[in-house]
Amino acid sequence: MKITRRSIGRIVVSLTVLLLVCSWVAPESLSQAPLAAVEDLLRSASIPSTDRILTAFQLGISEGTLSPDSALLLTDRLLQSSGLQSDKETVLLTLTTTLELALPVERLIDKVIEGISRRVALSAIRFEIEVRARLQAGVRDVLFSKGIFVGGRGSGGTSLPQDRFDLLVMHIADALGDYREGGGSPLDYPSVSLAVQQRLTYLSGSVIPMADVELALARIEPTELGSVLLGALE
Amino acid sequence: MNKDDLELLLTEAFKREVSVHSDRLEGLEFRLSEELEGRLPKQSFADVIRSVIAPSRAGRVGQLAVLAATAAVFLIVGGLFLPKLTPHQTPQVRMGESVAGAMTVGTTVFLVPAPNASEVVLVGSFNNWEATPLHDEDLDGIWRAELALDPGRYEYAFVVDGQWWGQDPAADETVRSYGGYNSVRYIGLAGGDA
Repeated sequence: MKITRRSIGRIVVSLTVLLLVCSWVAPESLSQAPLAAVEDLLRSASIPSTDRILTAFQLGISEGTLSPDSALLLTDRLLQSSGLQSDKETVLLTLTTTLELALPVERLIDKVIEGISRRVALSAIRFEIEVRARLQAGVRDVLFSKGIFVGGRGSGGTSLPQDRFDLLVMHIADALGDYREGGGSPLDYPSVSLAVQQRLTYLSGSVIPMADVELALARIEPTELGSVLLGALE
Repeated sequence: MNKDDLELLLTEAFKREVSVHSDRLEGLEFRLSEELEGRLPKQSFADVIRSVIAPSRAGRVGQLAVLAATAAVFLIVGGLFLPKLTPHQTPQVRMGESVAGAMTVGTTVFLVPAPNASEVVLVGSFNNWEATPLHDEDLDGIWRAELALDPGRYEYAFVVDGQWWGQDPAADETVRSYGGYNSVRYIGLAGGDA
């Protein structure tokens, strides 16, 4: 077969087109593969709310708050861990509810995986995740009440893009969770506030925009943070 | 009849002829274009694709030029930024010191003294709490690992011969977790390592 400059040109152009098509199609199919594996794991473990969990995972993946690999890693580790089936279901449903509420799950998943690696009793992991999920919901409500909204919701306040709002929710709630795990009292408002202030200050600039940190610290009162913590423990 | 008279006669005859058939000239352009369009050979789907992929020699040259330009951009961007993102030097550090900001962006050193240990690993939020081995190549009892971390907050612990140890003196802070301790590093941040 005679190879001409013309045929080489065509091959190069065709390969480029093929590459572009693949790069457009591949991410979608790649994100489906782990989710299919998650479904297999859930169904083989006879988890009752499999459809609801999968729908929430799919939602999180499509909104960019959950990576397909994280979903698979979590499901795999959780279902393989020793512990009651009901505790596994509760952990999965807590994450499902968090996703349905459009709250971040990244830190919750990390906490579950850490607990399993540490061989912590699943009941203790379940408790910790439930508290931290409630903390996130509480922090979000406080931000709303202070006029800090997400994606154009609400009026007369400050509206942040979803990812920036999520960062505030996740890190304030995580600071409160760590404060609680460290034995801090919810009624010691100055200490609660200091824990949150320190966390946000550390992250200010690179991870969380400085303006968002200043906004949150200026508007949220120490007593409100203490109330969120108390509410999560009830 | 001279030449000028003949030309005049012909011109007038032509004008008369045109004025008689002027109604037939109306819409002539449209009719012609329709007729010509109908006579054009029909393109198959493969022809259309072929014409899009390689419409002409000039088109192919243009496509190759775009391809070359794209490759050049990738090479230039890669050349400029990749060396900064993939550290290949081995920094000299003191125990517990982080070199994330000093040498290259994102390289963090983890050190732990464990003279009698046979295995030391690092677990944390950066590796899904899976073991990353530390090494003691000069057998001085100081175990070491280097990781390239993006800016953020990371919790971690050392596992020395199966025992978790989460109170790294080089950490930015220490937190309680599941009844034990985790060390925390802030990477690339105001209060952190880089």
